[in-house]
Amino acid sequence: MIFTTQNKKEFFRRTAGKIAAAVFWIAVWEMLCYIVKQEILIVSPVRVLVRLRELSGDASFWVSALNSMLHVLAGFLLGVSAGIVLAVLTTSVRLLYDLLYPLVSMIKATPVVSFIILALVWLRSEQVPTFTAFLEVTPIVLGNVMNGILKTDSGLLEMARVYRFGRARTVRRVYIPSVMPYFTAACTTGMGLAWKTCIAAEVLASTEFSIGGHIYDSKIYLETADLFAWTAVVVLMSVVLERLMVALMRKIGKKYNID
Amino acid sequence: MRIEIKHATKQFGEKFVLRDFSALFPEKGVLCLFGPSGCGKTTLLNCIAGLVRLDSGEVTGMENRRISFLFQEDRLLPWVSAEENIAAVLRGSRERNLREARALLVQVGLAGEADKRPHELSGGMRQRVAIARALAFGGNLYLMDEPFHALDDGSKQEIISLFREKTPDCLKILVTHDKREAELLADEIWILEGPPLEIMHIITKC
Repeated sequence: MIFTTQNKKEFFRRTAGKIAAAVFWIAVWEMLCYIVKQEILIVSPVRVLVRLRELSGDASFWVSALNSMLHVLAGFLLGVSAGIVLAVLTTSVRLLYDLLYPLVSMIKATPVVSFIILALVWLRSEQVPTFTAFLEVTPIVLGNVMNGILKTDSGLLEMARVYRFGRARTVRRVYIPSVMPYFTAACTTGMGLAWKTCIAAEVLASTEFSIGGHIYDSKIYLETADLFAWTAVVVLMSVVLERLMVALMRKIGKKYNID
Repeated sequence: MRIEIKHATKQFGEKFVLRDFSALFPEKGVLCLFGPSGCGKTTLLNCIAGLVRLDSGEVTGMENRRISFLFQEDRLLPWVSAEENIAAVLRGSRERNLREARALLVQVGLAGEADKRPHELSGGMRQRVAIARALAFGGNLYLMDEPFHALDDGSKQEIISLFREKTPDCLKILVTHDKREAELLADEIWILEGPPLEIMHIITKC
């Protein structure tokens, strides 16, 4: 990208705006703490930072953060893979769509805690977060990718047929680029959802060495500062992971656009 | 072998677009199918191309036919450049395909636009890319469904001359509802009415 002076100005203006918004909300937060004055109800931003520093001095902090991230990634990737496979199958075999439709609707409508509690009965507690994240991500990816496949321009498909693209080339040249925007949207939503479900599952399963496990402890010992600190870790990691994913997908997308 | 349609019938819902339609096509040259919008000429073209299946009747003389189809719309892949769009219908070495694509783009008057995406080109330019693609595919039957509407008279003649020059032994069927276009470009004109499609009159130039 080439930065002209105009672009540069615009860029700085936007960044300044973002920082101002962040400062504003942190000030509101600080104000609230000042008014409430009870650490058990709300913890000040400064206190959260201090607590984070204390916690991060301990090796178990990093182990827990890493563990939770692995739960999220595993659940997310499983969900994405299953979603893609099912989307391809349901769009090629109508019968399969009819068969799967009620199941998918049921999964979508079921409260995530019901699955978590059920999974606790079925699985070992460290498998529960991944499993529930997988269950939540799959329908999102399935729905979006299916929609993308169905909305592929029939004119282009006809063109591919006339010019004898064959299956491989039709998929690569027509289907994948058409589905890409739907897929990216599903992944962004799915990643956020995977974090939320994973942490919820870890709390309910009080999984050892996980962020959710620590959040569970903070509830028992009424350590609101810990709750805030761990939540901050989740938010941060979720944002970072999502950004990384979007950057990676843009790279892959570029390959399919240009190559 | 000449292409022949025998007793073709095609129905969309209640409407007969083709009803016991038969015709023998010329061996080569530019044949214009001229008729009002909705008379069934596009359906006829799609039946020959195999994009629409006949309810009854048959199309013969299609053995070993490689069809270059020019659609009403450009139908270019929006996510790749002009040259990539053309190379997409070719097989074999990527380098050679791209070189051939660029050479064809020069011939249709788009020398400087090879690496532009369709959305960066005007309607007429996009249609020229589609024409270059049809030529690149190198069919021995050219089916064209009003592909020249975005071009002016001069360009139409220029493009048709290019087709004549590159594909002297192939039949080129051009569908149009523009009388002047038919008179300008064709060797033979079929004046059609419908639906159901009917040949009212055949005009042979020469």
